Amino acid sequence: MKWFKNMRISAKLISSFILVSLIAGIMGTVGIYNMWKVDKEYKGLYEDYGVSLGDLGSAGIDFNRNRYRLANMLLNDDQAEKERLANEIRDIENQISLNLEEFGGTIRSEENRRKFQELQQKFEMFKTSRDRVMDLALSGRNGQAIELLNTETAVLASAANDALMEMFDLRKTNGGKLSRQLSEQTNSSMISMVVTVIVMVVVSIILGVLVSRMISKPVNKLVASANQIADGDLNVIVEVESRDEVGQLALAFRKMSDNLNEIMGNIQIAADQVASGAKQISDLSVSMSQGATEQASSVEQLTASIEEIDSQTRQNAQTSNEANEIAEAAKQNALLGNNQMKEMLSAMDEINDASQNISKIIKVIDEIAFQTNILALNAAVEAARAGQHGKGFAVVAEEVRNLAARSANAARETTELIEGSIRKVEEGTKIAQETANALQSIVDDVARVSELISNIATASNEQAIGISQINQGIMQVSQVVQTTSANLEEGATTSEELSAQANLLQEQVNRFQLRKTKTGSGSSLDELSPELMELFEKMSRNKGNVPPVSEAKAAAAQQTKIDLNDYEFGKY
Amino acid sequence: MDQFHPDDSLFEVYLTETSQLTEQLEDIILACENANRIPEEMIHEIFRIMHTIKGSSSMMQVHGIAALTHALEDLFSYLRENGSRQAPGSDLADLLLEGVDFIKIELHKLKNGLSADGDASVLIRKVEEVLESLGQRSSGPPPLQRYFARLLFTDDCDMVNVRAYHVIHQLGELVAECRHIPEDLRDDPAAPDLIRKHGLQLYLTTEKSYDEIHAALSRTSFLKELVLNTIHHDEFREEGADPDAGDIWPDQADQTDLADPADPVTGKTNRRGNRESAAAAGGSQGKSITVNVSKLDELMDLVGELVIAEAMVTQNPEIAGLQLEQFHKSVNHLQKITREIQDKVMEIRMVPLASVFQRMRRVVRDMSKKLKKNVNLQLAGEETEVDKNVIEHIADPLMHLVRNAVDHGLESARERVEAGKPEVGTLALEALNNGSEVLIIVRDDGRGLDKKRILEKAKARQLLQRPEADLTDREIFQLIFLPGFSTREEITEYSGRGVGMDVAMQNIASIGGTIAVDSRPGEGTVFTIRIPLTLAIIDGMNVRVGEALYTLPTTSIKESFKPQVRDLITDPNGREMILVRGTCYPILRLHELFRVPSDCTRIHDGVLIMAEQDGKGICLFVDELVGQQQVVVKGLPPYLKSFNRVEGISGCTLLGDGSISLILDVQGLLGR
Amino acid sequence: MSESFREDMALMEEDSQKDKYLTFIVDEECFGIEIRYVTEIIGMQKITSVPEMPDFVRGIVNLRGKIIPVMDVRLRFNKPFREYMERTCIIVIDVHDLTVGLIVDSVAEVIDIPSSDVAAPPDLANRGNRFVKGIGKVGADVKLLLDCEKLLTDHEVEQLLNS
Repeated sequence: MKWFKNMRISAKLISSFILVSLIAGIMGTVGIYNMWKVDKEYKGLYEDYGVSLGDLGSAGIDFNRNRYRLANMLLNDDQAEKERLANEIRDIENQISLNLEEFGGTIRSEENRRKFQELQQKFEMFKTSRDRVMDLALSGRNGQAIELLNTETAVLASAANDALMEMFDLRKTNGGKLSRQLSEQTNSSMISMVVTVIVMVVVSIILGVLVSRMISKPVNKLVASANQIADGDLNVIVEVESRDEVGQLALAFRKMSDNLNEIMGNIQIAADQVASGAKQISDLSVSMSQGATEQASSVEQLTASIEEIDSQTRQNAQTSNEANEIAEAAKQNALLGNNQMKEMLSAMDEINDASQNISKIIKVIDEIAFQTNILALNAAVEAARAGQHGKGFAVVAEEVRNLAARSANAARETTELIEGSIRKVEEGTKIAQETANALQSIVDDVARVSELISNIATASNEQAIGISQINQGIMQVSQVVQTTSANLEEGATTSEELSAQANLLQEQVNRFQLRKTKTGSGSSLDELSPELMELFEKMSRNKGNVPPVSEAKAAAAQQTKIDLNDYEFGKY
Repeated sequence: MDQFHPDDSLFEVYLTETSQLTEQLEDIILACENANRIPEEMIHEIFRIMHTIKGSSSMMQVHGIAALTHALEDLFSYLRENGSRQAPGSDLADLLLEGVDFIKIELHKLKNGLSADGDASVLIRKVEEVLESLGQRSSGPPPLQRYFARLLFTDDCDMVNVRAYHVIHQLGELVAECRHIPEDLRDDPAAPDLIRKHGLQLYLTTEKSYDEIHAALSRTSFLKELVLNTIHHDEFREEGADPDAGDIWPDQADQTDLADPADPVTGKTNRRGNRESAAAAGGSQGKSITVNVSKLDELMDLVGELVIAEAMVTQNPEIAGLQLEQFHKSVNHLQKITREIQDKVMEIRMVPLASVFQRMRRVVRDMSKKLKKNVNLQLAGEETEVDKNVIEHIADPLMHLVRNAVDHGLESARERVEAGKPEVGTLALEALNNGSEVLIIVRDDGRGLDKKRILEKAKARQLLQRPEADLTDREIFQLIFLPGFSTREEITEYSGRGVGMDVAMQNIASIGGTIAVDSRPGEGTVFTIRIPLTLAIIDGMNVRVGEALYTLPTTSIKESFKPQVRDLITDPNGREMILVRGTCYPILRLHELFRVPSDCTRIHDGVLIMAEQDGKGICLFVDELVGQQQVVVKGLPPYLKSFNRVEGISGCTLLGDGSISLILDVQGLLGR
Repeated sequence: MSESFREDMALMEEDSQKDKYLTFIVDEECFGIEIRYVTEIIGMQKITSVPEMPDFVRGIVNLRGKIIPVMDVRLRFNKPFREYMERTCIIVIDVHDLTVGLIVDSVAEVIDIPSSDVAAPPDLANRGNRFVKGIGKVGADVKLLLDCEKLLTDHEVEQLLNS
């Protein structure tokens, strides 16, 4: 029954019920079968005997009817009537045949069959005679018919009739027999059935009891264990007896109790650790707080120096701005000088242009002089032509020529002067150009200086900005340090609380009785996270100095985080 | 007889005027002779002419002429008085012509500085005889003359009626009778207008001479125009009817209408034709003055320069392209006026050949009478005008040609009939203007020139320069122009001295013309005189070849187009030709011909101008067409001519900007 | 006045003009022509060339409406051609109604050279000297006096010589 025990409860129950139902079913089936049998028997009885008797009876009746009709026929002189009767007889004969056939069908035994055949023979013999009678009757030979009838037919009829009655009786007897048989059968069936029922019931009850007991026992056991655990006794052992649900439950219980044991154990350990850790933190934070205070004071000093630098830088920037302005002014002046130089150049150009114009005009004058000369020559020609009359005119012409020559000379001299002037102007232009160039280079240099100064100013400004930023940064640092200090204070407080809480935890854990078998992870103080340990050591070493801001910051950041994630926690 | 210096201007006037009148007279007489009667107007005209000549000759103390004309005046005065029904016949005409000749001779003498010492007494006597035969002795007081006067006052004359009244009043002493229209000068309000419009019309009867009345009326102040006509007795009564009737006015054609907008060429011709033909027919009372030809020359030059100056102003590059509306309007106005001045001056200078032709009539008449040949003188193109200069130089050669034609060319009537020609020989004088020159053609249908004889004579006189066989017919005929040439055996009054033709040719050459002769034996001879219009303003098309400008007379241009290379053909000789609408024209590249450097040498870069002369065409290749304008033709300086006669350049002209453009002559270019 | 008187007057006038010469420079040499032939002196003008003329006949110019042919004296005397500048002058001469302009390098003056100072020209055969009528001495200078008529009309001979 092990396997059965290991079956699931649901399976158990179901199988039990099935069994029970099966039994019921069997019983039912048996009962039904019996009934059916009985029914069949009775039906057979009925048919074989009841009905067949009926048939037989009918046949007998009909037979008699025929005899009557036959007689009628003989009594009747009416041909038509006879005919009619004959027909009727034939019909009835058929009927009889049918019934007999039917009856014949129901014969089961040999004996009966033999008897039946006899019957049939008899009937046949009768029929034959009858027929003859009928024929006679029909043919009008009533007398003969009657005769015959009274002799042969009657005999035959009686024989048939007797056979019939025999049959009949036989059947009846058999029937009765059979019926009594059946009743006996039925009774026996009934008895068997009752017996079966009783048996089945008993079996069912037993099965039920068994199964229920199978279930309830372990459950009770588990209940007891649970109560134990609830009461704090974790040292309980759970037995597992089966693999069914209850068994599973027991298994789980076992696991649960094991785990609980473990957890509690760990908690205990941890609580111990926490308590000690908290204490340490508390100590440390106190010392750190001291350190932070010292930091703050150093930061103050730093701030002061930075501010000095800042103001110096600002002054620098201002100075360079001033220098820039001066350089700018110098540049403007140089530009002004340059512009004026350019103006002078353009003025000289204008002089040049004017000279050119004058030159052109001089050319014109020269041209005029030439033309005048020609005219004078023409005049001289005319004067010569005029001969005596032209003498005076010739003189005039000569004078005009002289004038023209003088004009030409003057024009030439002026041209030379102009050219000289132009040359001088060119020289002047050259010098002016050079001056302009020099000025231009001054301007350029000044511009460059100005640019440089401006760069310096910008740089100073940026420096100032940078320094102020540094200042700000330092402020921030000091703030942070203060915050750190405050945080440390808080930390200390918090660690105090933590310590208290740890104690509380320990008390709670101690309420449980633990199994002494398993030990969790190491629960010594040395198992704190190594980084943290390192930091503590470092901090205790560097208490006196001002730690760099970043380190301080980092330290502060790290300090607020207490790494409780023991990586070894939970590993088994 | 006093001598007059030929330069004396008054004398000059007298000579010119008298010559003119004499010519007129001659024409009239000839016309009358042809008509075989002297119409009334002609009588008046002749009378008037005689009267005028008489007057002026007396003034000039040319007594011979004065006396003669006096006699003739008497004759015609009589004729005038007593009607011309008595046909004087050709005797009278002869007589008159004799008189005319006498006057001419005298004038000729005077012109040449000789004294006019001709004796006209013979003629005078003849005249008197005629007069006697007509039954009237001209003596006694001069009869009453009747005059018609029309006075037009200037526009700025106020109170024309007062003025008119004054005139009439003044005349009162001179005239016996004076009728005036408008009649009522004082009270009629319409009178001033009538006077202004139609002038003051006076019908005068007086014994004073025409001149006296004329002089008296001329003294009227504010007188714009004076017309004084002598009227016949009959006509006097008729007048006074309708002052507006047109036929009362003497030849209206004489009122030179400055505002006449008619086409200058035809209108001008018509008017002047009218005037001249009226003068020829003998009925013009027109006012004319004699002008020294040199003054006209100067005027022509000035006008030419005006045209150039005007072109210089209007085509001035400084204003080119500017939109100056008012300026252009004014310029157009200026151009119009300049053109009109041009035309007028041209008109003045140009004289129709009619006068010359008409003179030929006389010549032909005399000669035909003398030689007993019947000659039909046909004149055509008499209205063709040539410069006065030309007229003077053409008259003699023409006369010579005509003489030759009648003398040698035309056969006697008998010969003509024998030859199957009409009995009356025809001598045709034709003048026409073909744009760049004037052609005068003398054609006769006589016997023609004898080539053989010419050649013989030429050989005999050693005038042949080239072998006989080389000469074309034309060249043979041209030989007759050589000096010392005459095929006439004997010397007649008219010809044979062999000095006629060459002189004629020289005369023609002196005005730049040429003469050519063609002849067909038995059919006749044709002399063609070509006179270039050297002093002319023609329409020219300016073209450019390289840097040089040329002008082509637009009348010789048929069309111009941009040629396609594909139309270009080169004949086997290498000459270029172009196909235009199926006809082939030779191409003449001007830049090659005149050796002008030009960038445009490919046919399709330039322009082809198709020019035609006398049916022959040629295409001139130029760089581009510059424009069309009227140009003043100036001849090439004679100095250049002394080197080389450039065929194809007939002169030069000044363009608007003062540059010179050579005028191309198609005839010459065709020859190259 | 009579014709003869007039002629006398003209002669007299000519005489008074006789010894006066207009001198000009061509190719560094000084030439002179009689004043009576000189019409006027003008500056350089635009010359319109006329085809088929000898090379020394440069063409024609427009002088106030009158067309005047111009001749380059340098070329006429077979001297090298020089480009015309604005100083180049044209002397317009009139010889027997032939008006011609002479292109010269420059015009000098009108000067009296009495015939006593005029010497006969040297060798006639020399081409250039054909035109020289005489040599005039003026102070230290020598001026070649030209025969205008030959200058203008002597080309047929020249052509013959050339051909």
